[in-house]
Amino acid sequence: MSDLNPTAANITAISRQRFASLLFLALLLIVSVRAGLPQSSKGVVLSSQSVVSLQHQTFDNTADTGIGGLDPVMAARRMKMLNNERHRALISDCDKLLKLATELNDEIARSNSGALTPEQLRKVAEIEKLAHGVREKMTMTIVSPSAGYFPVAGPQ
Amino acid sequence: MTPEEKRKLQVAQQCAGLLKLATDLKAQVDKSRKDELSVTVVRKAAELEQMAHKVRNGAALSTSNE
Repeated sequence: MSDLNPTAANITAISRQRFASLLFLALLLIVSVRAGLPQSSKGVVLSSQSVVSLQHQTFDNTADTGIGGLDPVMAARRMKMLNNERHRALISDCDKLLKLATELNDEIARSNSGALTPEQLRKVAEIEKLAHGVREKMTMTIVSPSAGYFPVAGPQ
Repeated sequence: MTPEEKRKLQVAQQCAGLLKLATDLKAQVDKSRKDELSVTVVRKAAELEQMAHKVRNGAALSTSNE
């Protein structure tokens, strides 16, 4: 080893120093990353406890509001209004139905033919359509959630 | 009774049935409450719809036979 010239010995010493400093830097980096990991994960990953608390918060929010995020009072008022409208339409349809059926019956009683005229056929088709509409409207009764039950009137 | 008379009587009976069902339906709708689903109304309306359909089909058949 003593035969080595001084330049080669210098180069070896420098490379050792560099290796040592690089190793130190790598160790420092690993230590800093390990130390910083839990802190950064707190910001990203939600613990199960926090998820549960968030869910409770969500349910509490829906409990405070009515259907579709409306105020419960507004929702109830809206339902009442829709039901009024539906009932009014039902009565109107039934009035038309009765008028058409009466007209048809009178015309048939007056006529001498067993066949129906196109106008009478149109009235029968209109009666069929209105009856279908009445059935649909009655099955679409809107009930307030505060009622807690669905009122159904049985056969009378 | 001739077939024509028979047919006329049948149509008259069907139309009287339509009128009776329409009258019953109107009475039931008047009785029903706004926030209530009345099974009677639904049933009567279905009967009326079926009967009107029958009358229309019968008339169409008799027209095609003539």
